[in-house]
Amino acid sequence: MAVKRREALIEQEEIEGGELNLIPYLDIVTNLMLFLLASISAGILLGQLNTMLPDKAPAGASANEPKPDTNPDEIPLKMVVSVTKEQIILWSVSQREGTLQSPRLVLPRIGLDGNRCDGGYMCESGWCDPGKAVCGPNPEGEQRRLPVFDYRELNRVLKEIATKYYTPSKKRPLDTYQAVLMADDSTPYETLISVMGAMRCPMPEIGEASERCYLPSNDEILTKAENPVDDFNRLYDTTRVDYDPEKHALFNDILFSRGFE
Amino acid sequence: MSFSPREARAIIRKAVGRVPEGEEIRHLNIMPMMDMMTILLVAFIFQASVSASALTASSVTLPRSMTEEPLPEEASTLIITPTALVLEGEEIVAVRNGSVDAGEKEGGARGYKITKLTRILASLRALENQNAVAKGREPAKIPELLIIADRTTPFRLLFDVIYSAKEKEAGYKRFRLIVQKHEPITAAK
Repeated sequence: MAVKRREALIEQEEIEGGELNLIPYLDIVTNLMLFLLASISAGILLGQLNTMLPDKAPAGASANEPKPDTNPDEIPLKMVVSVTKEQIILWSVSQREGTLQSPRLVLPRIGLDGNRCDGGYMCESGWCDPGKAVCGPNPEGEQRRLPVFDYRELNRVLKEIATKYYTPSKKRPLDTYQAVLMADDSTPYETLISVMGAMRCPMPEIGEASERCYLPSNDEILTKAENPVDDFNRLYDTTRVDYDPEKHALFNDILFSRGFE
Repeated sequence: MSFSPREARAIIRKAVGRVPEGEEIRHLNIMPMMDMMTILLVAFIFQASVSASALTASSVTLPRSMTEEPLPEEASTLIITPTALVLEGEEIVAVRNGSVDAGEKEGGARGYKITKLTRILASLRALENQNAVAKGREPAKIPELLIIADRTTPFRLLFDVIYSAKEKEAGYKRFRLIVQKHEPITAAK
């Protein structure tokens, strides 16, 4: 009886003493902390692609005509990838790899449900079934269907062109890495990014992991360095290293264009 | 069983003596933990609100790419959402149906330059240069702008944005398009 009374007294003292019960507060804070920690970045890995707009040529300039005595291998091909609503057209301003009238490559739209894929970027629905590696309706809810093309074929032909002109055992001048990406006004950003990805570096086969390709550079530090290849930043000195289309960039210097003036 | 009053008092004293032992457990000092938790909570909420305003909630879906190039450490970021152009967390110009209102552009609907964007980018770049000088560094020779855009952003809008940033007043020369890294899927065997 006395023990019970004593315990009741202590409890009463605690209540009257105004001591807060912090357990619910701690529960809430801990839960919030876990939630916020889990939501940060959500494991998104980011990368980046470089680009720029072409400068306007001064009136009367003849679009950087090469000098007559220039080595034909060093004349830039001026490859152009034109993206329309229904197809991709690969041609060259130099006319050495097709013209707009007679292009080197024409790729129609693909990425329909049931087509093979190795990522959502290859499907109009944005969904590549991870088990079957085929495009299908997006289980996360139907999104706006964006045009998809055979980027691997574009990549294969660009690699073939680079191999034809800059191998074997040739140094590839820096300005030959430039290509123009011309697109219809309505072309969505995702399609542009995929086309740029296909233009920049050799793509792995479906299902194979991609390896970061080496980019050409005329960086002063690299050109003066003993080793012409910077493995950490994946750069190489074009004046000292022979071009290798398996490891090096294809046409990484991409200029955006809306057409000709 | 019966106890004498003396034995009963001894038992009570013994029992009561046990109670204070429990008090030590009840008075565990959790103040440092609470301080730490509260500070972390405030920091996380602040961080979440900053990134939310920068990306205007989850309205931007990045396209995926196989690119492996890492992000640069320092550069200004422009975000193109389906509803606005957002620079350093602040909405600059409204976007409707994938384009900027013709009134915002020099030359109207056929023009490329988004006047307000060029003006604000120019002041941002001046500020970047000032900061670089204050830190004892040279201003960037080739000023860079990071562009984060929704996967549905039309080429025309992207072109207009780059054109506006490349104008002499703003002077950005290199543009980095931010993408979400794509991990290849392999078919189950």
